[in-house]
Amino acid sequence: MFRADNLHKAFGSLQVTRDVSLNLPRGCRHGLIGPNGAGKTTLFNLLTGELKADSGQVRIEDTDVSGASPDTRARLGLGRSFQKNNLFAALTVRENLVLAALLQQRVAHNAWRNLRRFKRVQEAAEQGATLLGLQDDLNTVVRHLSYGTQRQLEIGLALALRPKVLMLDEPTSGMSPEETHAMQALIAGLPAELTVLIIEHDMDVVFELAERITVLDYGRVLLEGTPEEIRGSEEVRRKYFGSEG
Amino acid sequence: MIRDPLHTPLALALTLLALAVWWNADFFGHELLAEVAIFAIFAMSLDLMVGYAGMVSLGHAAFLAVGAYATAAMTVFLGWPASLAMLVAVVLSAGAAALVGLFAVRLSGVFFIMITLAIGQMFYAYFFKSRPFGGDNGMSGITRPDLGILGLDANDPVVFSAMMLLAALGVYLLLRVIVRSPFGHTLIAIHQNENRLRALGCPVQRYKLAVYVIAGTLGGLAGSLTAQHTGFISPDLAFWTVSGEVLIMVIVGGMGSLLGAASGAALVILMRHELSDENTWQLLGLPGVMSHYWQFVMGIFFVLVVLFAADGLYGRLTGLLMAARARLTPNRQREDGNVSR
Repeated sequence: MFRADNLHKAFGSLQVTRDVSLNLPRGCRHGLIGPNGAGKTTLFNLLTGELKADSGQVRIEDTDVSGASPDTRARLGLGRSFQKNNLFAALTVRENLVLAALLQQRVAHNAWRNLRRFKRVQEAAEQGATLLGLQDDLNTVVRHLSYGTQRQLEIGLALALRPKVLMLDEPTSGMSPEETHAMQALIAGLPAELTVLIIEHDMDVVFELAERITVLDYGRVLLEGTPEEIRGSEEVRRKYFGSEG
Repeated sequence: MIRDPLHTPLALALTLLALAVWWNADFFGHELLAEVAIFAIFAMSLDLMVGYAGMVSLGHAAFLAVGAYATAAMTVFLGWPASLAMLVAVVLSAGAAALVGLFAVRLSGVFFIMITLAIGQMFYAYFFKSRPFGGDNGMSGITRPDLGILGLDANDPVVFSAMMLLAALGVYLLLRVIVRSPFGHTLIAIHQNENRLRALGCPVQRYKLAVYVIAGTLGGLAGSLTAQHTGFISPDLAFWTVSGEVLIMVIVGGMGSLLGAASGAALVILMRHELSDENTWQLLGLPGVMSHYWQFVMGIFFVLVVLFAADGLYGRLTGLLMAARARLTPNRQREDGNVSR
């Protein structure tokens, strides 16, 4: 469904991604962890197209997207959230979601018809807001929302694209425990057929949500397996939890 | 729309004002009105790019010159009727904008400003050096459309200023349709967060190219009308200070508002006209020699606008209106509360 084969990336002489392969079948929940500097963000950017791999392939449903731009990959069904809130901060919640719906319904280029007459777009925006529990904040300007709510809208925008694959970059970073719980509930409630890849620093979140986990270390895949296997691995324990004994 | 309380009143006020001025104007009044209308078109075309899509250009005058020179060449060299020349000039401007845009929209921010400035100056240099187009002497003898079929004479300032007002109205209505469409909404999003929009699957560069071409095309229309208005053109039309001046019109009036840009154009042109006139100063009881320092006075005005109305006069007025409304609304609620108690 969504797979990467033998990705390599170097910045100058620094090899940040070495021969990384991932294979995510439809509907799986996959976690990506690793100590700081393991190359998680680089790998993420290689998958979304922000960076181009030196070698190796990325495929979405048998379509080779290795050379494709981020917007092409998004149109092929790759949705992503950002680690730092990356929204249209001066627009309202509704306007943010309308934007995503316009692009999802392939009508954003229409320059002659009034936006308000696109009923399906407006409906999609309202449904999206309801899904996020933001139906009462539709007309609130995004920068006036709390940090945690903005994080939720961040994922809501990606979901509004109705992606086949959803990539979440540290979805609970900077959140309070309550907000983390709300976010976990949101992710757990995602449609079963959606393929999800989560990068996360918070181990508890990953172990709870992911069915399979890939551990990166120095740009290589150290181990891949179920949460139990990862938890039980002596190697991972040494590398990752080493400082904590 | 609640977020734009100024729009309808200002649209009405501007229309009435334009009609009143047109009705009462003398010969020079009509000349001035035509100039205001043409520059309103030019400023609105730039505002679509700068105010909505956030692409600050310092080379918009290039398209003013392309439209003007194309009109001049076809009316003077080929003897074409001005209406046909205008149509071809607009198409040529669109072509020029597409060609320039292909390179320019790859860059953003200060690099976009620099490349548009450089390309604008290339157009200036070309027209300045070109012998067929009269070099630095420019060209004269440009005709106006033949309105005989309507029983009108476009060389009559009364008729011509009315034509220009109608053209400005038409461009405003066209751009209003665009900014209220999904495309317009996407332009605002490009301004705010280009990267995020790309992650949502928007081919941002194609949208930027489209807006660059629309702006260039309408800039070319303004150029063609300028050539018809003055009957004379020179390379100065393409000079970067013209680009800077129209940018100032947009900033003073209010970026991201078509009416703001049009008002800015009117304000800057009228101020320039009045402040450089000795009579204005004498009317104010000041020595007429002040008119030599009109640019200094305009400079002070721009500084004040930027300091106290950073989002332009339109934005500032909208802000004041919203604040006034917000102050009135809770009062009303409090009164309601008292009544119920």
